[in-house]
Amino acid sequence: MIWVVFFAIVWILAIASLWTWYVAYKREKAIREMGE
Amino acid sequence: MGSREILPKIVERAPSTFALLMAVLGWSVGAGNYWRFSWRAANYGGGSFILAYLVWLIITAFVLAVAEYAIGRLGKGGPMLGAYNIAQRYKKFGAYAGLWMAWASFMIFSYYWIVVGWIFYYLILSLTGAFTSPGFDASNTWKELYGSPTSIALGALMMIGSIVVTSYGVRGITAVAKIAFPVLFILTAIMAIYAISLPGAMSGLEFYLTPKPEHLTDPATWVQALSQVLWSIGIAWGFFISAGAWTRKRDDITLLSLGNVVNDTTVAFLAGMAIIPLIFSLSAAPMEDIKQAGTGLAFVTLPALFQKMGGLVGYLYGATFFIAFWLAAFTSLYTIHEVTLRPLKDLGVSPSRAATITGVIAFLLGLPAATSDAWLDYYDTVWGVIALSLSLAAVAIIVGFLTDTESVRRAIVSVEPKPLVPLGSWWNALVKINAVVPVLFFLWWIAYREWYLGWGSGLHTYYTFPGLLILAIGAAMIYYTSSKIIERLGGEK
Repeated sequence: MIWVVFFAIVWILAIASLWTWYVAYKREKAIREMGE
Repeated sequence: MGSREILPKIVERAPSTFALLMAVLGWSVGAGNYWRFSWRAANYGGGSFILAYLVWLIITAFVLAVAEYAIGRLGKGGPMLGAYNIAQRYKKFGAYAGLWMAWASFMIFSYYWIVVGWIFYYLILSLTGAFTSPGFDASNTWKELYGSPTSIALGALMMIGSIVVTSYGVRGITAVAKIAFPVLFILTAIMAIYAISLPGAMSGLEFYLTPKPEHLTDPATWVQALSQVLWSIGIAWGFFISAGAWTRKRDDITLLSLGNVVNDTTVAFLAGMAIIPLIFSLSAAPMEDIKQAGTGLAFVTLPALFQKMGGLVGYLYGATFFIAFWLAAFTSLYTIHEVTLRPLKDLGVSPSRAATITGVIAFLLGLPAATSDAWLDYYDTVWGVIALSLSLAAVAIIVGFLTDTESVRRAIVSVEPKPLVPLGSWWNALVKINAVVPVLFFLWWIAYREWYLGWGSGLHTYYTFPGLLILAIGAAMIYYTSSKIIERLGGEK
């Protein structure tokens, strides 16, 4: 059943991917607020 | 950095952080995420391969992606000028290594258009319902396409598409990627979720993800994982240098690098989950089909399975797969095109002219590979394996030894708002280690396979030795060209 751990890793990575998109979006917002 | 900088004649900046992230993800995620990763994972130990993959991802891919972006950002130019400006202790080597990367990418670009054309043909087949129509023969369809005028015409169409996108520079590249990458990501996740719900899919998942301990101690697992990581993330091709030069002063290159490794790995894992359980659920001989990689997997095995699924489900699954697969391949085509034309753009050639010149030459140069398996294999080995591993060492040498690594690190972390990954001095050490470890590992592996296990069992000996000669001639030619250009621009003699 150890494959379940790897299965979980795949979905954790998928969520982490979407999180990087969100971080990029937030950073752009912050950059714009800094007036640049 | 340094006194005598040579600045590019054309300067472009990314329109936003999100657009830039999507553009660099479009680069990393390519055909290999779909037709190489699942095959390698299934045949080199399942979970053991994934573990080895994750190790290389952290110690090599992330570290060198940051280094490559830093060359472009701090060197303020594409592969040749960026590397020249940053490699303070041996600037000519920087220019030489940078132009070498663009050259190796050009050689790969010269046959990648053919592959993208093939995928586009299968995308049309999937959309017109060919897979689920009676009388569809997957093997014959592929045999008839290979080397045919249709495949060359569709490849030419892909090349025209690439010329159009790159003619608009960073604006064109980010505009396409902002739509293409999220679409392919979501479609791949939907396929993975559907595939694991199929009857019998669990045995496929178990096969795919269960670590086989004996593979963990087999060097083949580690070599395959390393080459998959380098090829898949796209380290040392020069693209990250080009993208680094697009960054604005508040852009965070640790975010881009982390985004590259996390998103690329996710798409590869999900694609494996969309393919392997499907094979176990529908194939009459899953253990045979699982050994298929590349064209055999994507153009024969999978269409035959879509046919077996039949009806609306077969149609939708086939179409979803080829839309995602083609988007991944096309976004990699125009980005590799950007690397190859970047040195020209840096020298002042207009983007549209640089895109057309490199596009037409690559098209003509790739024609032999469009009609011959042997040529394709040769191109893949010489440029994709040998030339890339040399470029990998060059990136690490430039950032780890030819400039002050600590001041590079400080420049990266001093950006405001704060960077996502707090790079410590561990990064400096890992960059230096990467100048030798992966290349030595590759060389040891080639020697072990070729000389210890017997001639021809390793890197296609038949092609490698004439290939090495061509590499050497290419290396001399690039050295001469880079020296002349730098001298003419008033740089180091």
